[in-house]
Amino acid sequence: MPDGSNGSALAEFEQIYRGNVGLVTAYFARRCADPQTVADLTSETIVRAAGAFGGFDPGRGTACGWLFGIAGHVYAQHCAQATNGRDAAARLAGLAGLPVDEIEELTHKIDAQRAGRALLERCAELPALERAAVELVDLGGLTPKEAAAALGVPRGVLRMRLSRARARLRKVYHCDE
Amino acid sequence: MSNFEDHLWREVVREHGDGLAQVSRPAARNNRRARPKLVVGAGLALAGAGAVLALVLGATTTSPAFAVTRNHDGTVTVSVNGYGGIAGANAKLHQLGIRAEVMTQMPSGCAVMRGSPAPSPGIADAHWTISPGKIPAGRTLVLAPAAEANGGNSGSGGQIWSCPTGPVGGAPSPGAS
Repeated sequence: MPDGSNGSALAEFEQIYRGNVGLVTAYFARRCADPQTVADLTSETIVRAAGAFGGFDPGRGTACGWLFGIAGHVYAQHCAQATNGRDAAARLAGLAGLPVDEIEELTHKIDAQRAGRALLERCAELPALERAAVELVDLGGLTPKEAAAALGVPRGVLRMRLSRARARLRKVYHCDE
Repeated sequence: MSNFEDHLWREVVREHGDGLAQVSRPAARNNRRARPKLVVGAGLALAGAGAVLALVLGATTTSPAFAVTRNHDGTVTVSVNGYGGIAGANAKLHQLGIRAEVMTQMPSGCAVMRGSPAPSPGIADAHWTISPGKIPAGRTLVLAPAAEANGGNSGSGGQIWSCPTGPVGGAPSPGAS
């Protein structure tokens, strides 16, 4: 079983990074219109994950759910500190001043999340847990189990809230799931 | 990965790689029996499901991080239990000279294999059975669980994909077996 051996921890983290960084970036691209902010919040999430990797136990939840849990905290902190006029993200030195091609990539990612942002706006009236459930499952592509782990609620509660949220959205907007 | 994602990974490794290399990963605490969720032939011939089932279930009472098992009918069963098993499985496939790789993010230029089974729901307890002799020349099979593949470039579900042979993913971990 894995191991405890040091070199493999970096390799394992790289697998997690490669498998999920696109989802994390999209999560922030649905919330922020500025490519540099999306980059900073994504990097902040990954850096925090790297720092906490020793405590991550795949037996207790998926890496995807774990990362989304961190991303949620990073964004909440960003909003709170932005209110006070401070920059939440501790930027990696090498990411200050992104090259033009990367800004364009992130701009495209932000544009691609337009529909996701619209759905989030539609969910604005929903309770926070229902809104988060819709986003993680219907936009983020997580399984209900992963979303439940990310949000720290039992799977049954997540499924119930998700079902309720979808029903409310259908009722209000007369649209299909 | 995009330029930004590659750039971010380089910065993470540069600034936090030493710390990650020192991380001591907890031993997996998963005591569930391995369950075969996917049974297919890579060349789209279905494998001897009964034989595979017996081999996988008979392996151990605890789930290893990965297993690459040659079956008597010439197929090979790849089992991965969590992200920690990916590098080892890929190293073993590479050692056996099998052009297949477990990946959590789909590279471009890939096509889903006709007859590929329903997606595995996640990276925990994911299994694929492939026929190495039937992998088309110049192609590499990519074995991807659904939840992770959804976050990749293709935006499609999991299953087994055929990709142009080349650097489709990270290099296998040399120490794994």
